[in-house]
Amino acid sequence: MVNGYLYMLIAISIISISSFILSLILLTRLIHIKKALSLLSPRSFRKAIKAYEKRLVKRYIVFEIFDSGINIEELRSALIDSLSRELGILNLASCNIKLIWFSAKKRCGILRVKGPYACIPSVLSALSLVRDLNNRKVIIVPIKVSGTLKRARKYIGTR
Amino acid sequence: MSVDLLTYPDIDEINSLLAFAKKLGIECIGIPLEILDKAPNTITRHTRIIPRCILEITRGKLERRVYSNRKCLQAYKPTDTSSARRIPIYKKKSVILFDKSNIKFFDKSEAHLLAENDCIAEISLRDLLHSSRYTVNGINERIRYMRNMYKALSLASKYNVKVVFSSFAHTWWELWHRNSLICILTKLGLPSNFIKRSIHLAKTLALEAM
Repeated sequence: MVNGYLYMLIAISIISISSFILSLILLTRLIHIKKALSLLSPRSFRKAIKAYEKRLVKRYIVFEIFDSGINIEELRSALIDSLSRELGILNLASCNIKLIWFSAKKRCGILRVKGPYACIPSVLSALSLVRDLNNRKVIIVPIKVSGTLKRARKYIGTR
Repeated sequence: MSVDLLTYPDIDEINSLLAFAKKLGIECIGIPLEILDKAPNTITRHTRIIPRCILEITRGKLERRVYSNRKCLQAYKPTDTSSARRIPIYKKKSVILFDKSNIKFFDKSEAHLLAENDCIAEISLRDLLHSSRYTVNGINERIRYMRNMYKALSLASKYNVKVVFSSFAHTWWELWHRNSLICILTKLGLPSNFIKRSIHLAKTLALEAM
């Protein structure tokens, strides 16, 4: 009889302790959720978006050039010249464009863009609009956008 | 399959344009009947050709119903506001061509009419590439066309109008690759499903016309 009471007491104490711990965990979770919810308020959300927009990204654009016997030095100057005409000087400065690699044999090249994320679609559309390099008619087609140079080179290798 | 619904090559340049279209991965290309009639034997068929017919419509012409009866994919090009409004009502499920000269007719009521009558708006991309020395009100013609096109396309996406894009290329370097087209349209702020639908619609139109 005494043993039964003892077991009951032990069980009740275990349940009460576990429920206390559980409530503590839930309370801490609730505090976290509240913090997270406060982050979703319009002001902080706008701040987070601004911070994201300000963050500089680096992307490698693989492009194909049609009908041209152009070499890399000629292309480097002519491409930047044409892109400045399409993008404007301010955009070109913020986009930080650099021709990294070009193969006249494969008619492919890699262009690095380092700037805010909004730069990438602008550069892609500007590349599509370029039809004139050093008075030579060309068509430039952006094929792929990659995050690393290795993957961009690998993509050209597999083509 | 990549499709360019309308080109307008010179007779001497047809072959180079067709060869280059193949290089760019364009499988079907639209050429007007008047050019195909002039040079029937000299064409080497690198790509499949869609016969096209452009009918410039003024109010009087539309009322007298002067159309071409040959089998081809017809496009109606309105030359004034009244004809732009009347074509969707009289010729339901037709293709209406908009370019530099008439893109300004593509306003709210036109978009509403096009959507209501299930018409397809065909927008030419040629004028995006041609800058002019002459400026109208201090704005370059190319920028002006881009702005008008942006307005028209935003209305089209709002009213759910069916839109297809064609290059209207006279020479090989005016052709458009599919990727380039997607880049430009994305930059103009069009939703991805709208772009996909327009590309798919061009394919179905090409298959129907052949």
